[in-house]
Amino acid sequence: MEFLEIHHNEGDIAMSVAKSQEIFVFCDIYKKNILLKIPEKGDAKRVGGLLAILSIHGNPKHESLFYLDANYRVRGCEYPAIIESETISTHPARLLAKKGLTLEQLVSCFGNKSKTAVSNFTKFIVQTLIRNNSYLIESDLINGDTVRDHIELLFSEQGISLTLIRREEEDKVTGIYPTVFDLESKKFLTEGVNLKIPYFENLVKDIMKEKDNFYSLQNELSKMIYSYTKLKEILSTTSSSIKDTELARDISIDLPVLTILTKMAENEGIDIKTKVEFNGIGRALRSF
Amino acid sequence: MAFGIVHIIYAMNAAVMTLTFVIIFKKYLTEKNKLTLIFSLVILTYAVICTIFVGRGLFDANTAGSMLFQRLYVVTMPIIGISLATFIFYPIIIQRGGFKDGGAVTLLYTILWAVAFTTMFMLGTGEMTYQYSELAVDLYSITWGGLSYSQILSIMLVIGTTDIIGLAIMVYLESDPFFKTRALLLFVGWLMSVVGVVLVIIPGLLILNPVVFGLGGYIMAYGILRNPPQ
Repeated sequence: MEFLEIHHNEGDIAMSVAKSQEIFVFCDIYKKNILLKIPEKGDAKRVGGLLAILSIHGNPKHESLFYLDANYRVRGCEYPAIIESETISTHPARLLAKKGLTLEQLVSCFGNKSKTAVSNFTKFIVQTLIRNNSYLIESDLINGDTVRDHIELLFSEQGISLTLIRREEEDKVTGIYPTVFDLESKKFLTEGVNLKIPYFENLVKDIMKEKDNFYSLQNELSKMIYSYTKLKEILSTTSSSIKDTELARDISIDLPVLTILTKMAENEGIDIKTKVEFNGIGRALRSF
Repeated sequence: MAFGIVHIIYAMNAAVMTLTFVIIFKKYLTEKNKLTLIFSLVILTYAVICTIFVGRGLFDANTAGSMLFQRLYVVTMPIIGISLATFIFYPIIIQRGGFKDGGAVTLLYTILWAVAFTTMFMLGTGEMTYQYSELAVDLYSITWGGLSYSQILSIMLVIGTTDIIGLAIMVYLESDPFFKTRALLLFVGWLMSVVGVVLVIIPGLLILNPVVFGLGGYIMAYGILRNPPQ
C-alpha cells in the first residue's frame, strides 16, 4: 500500500505537483468536499491495492486518511489525530456498518432478485436524494426502523424526508409525486418523479462489488449533497444564466449527477429553466 | 499482392483506431451515454475503412479482389462523415428542439443523410476503371451517369466540410480549456482526414493520402484518449 501526505489550505490545495490525478472526497468531520491531488507516482492502478492518502485540511486543521481503490473511489477513511477519541469510535456510519445491515442486506430488502433489488433501491435512493417525499411501508416496525435508519445514515445529517408507515396508514402519504415502497411485497406502490438514473444504477452496482461499500456509497451521496449546497449558492447569487457544463465544473460533480441535482433544486422552487442552460455541444465533448 | 508502405500505414492506423474504439465503447457500456455510442461508431467506421484499405493490398492491382475492396473502401467513406455529423448535430437538435434554429439544424442533418445515401449508391453501383495506364498510379475511378469520380467525391465532401464547420463551432463555443483543446484536436484531425480523401483524386499527391489521413486519425485518437481532469 502506498502512502502519501497532502497538506491543504482552507478550501484549496497547497501541495504542488507537476502532473496528478484530481478527485473529490467528502470529509465527515469537515462536512465539505476535499480535493485530493494524487501524484502519478502514487497511481493506485500501478500499485494494485488500496492507496492511502493523508490529507491535512480544514479550520481548525485536522488529518483525514482516505483509502482509495483503483478507480479512485473512497473505500474508507480514518482520522489519525483523533483515532482513539469518541468522535471516531462512535461515528454512526461505522457503528451501523459493523453492527447493522451490510449494504448487500439493505439492498436485498428492495427486491427478491439481485437485479430488481439494485434497481428498486437505486430508484428509492434517488427519489430520497431529490428530497421527494419518501415512504417505506412495513408492518414489522423493528424491521422497518432498521431499513429506515440505514437509509438515513446514507444521507448522514442531511435532512431527508423519509417516513415509515404501516400498510393501513397509506392515507398519511402526502406530496404530488411521492415515492412509496412496500418492504413486505418488495414493490413500489408509486415510484415518484420520473427520472433517468442509469448513472446511479451503475454507481451502486460498482460500489457493491467492493469491500466497505456502505461507507463508499455514503461518501458518494455526501459529495452530491455538498455539491447541491454549492449549486444553490451559485444560483442564488447569479442573475444571468449559466451553462450546465460550467455549473457541473464549478460544483465539482459529474454531468449525469447534475441532472439529478437540478431536479432537486426544481423541487425546492429554484428557477432552473431560465438559470441553467443545456449545453448540448459541451455535453458531446464530455461524452468520452 | 500489392502490399506496400501505404498499406502498412493504414494497418497502423487501423490498430490505433480499433484500440480507441474499444476504450470508448467500454465507457459506453459503463455509462450508457448515447453520445458515447455515436462517437464510438465514428471511430469504429474509421478503423473499418483503414482495415478495408489494408485488405485491398492483399490482392494484385486491377483484379476482382482489389476492385471489391476499393469499392467497399469508397462506399464506407460517407458513413464516417454522417456518423460524425450525428455526434455534432444530435445534441444541438435536442438542445434547440422547438426553436427555429433547431429546425434548420434538423433540415441540414436530413440533407446530409440524403447526400450520404446518394453518394453511397453512386459509388456502389458506378462503373469502375483502373487508371494506371493513364496516370501511372495505382488508382481506380468510379463514374455514375454523366458524373465523374471527382464530381461524386465533391458531393460527398459536403458532409466532411459540414463536419469541419460543426467542429469549428465546438472549438469556438467551448470555454473549458481542456475540452476546448479536445475540440481543437478533433477539428484538426478531421480536417486532415478530409484533406487526405481529397488527395486521392490528385494523382501527384496520392502518395500523401495515407500519411495525411492516418495522421488525422492519430490526432483525433489523441484528443479522445487524453484524460480529463476529475
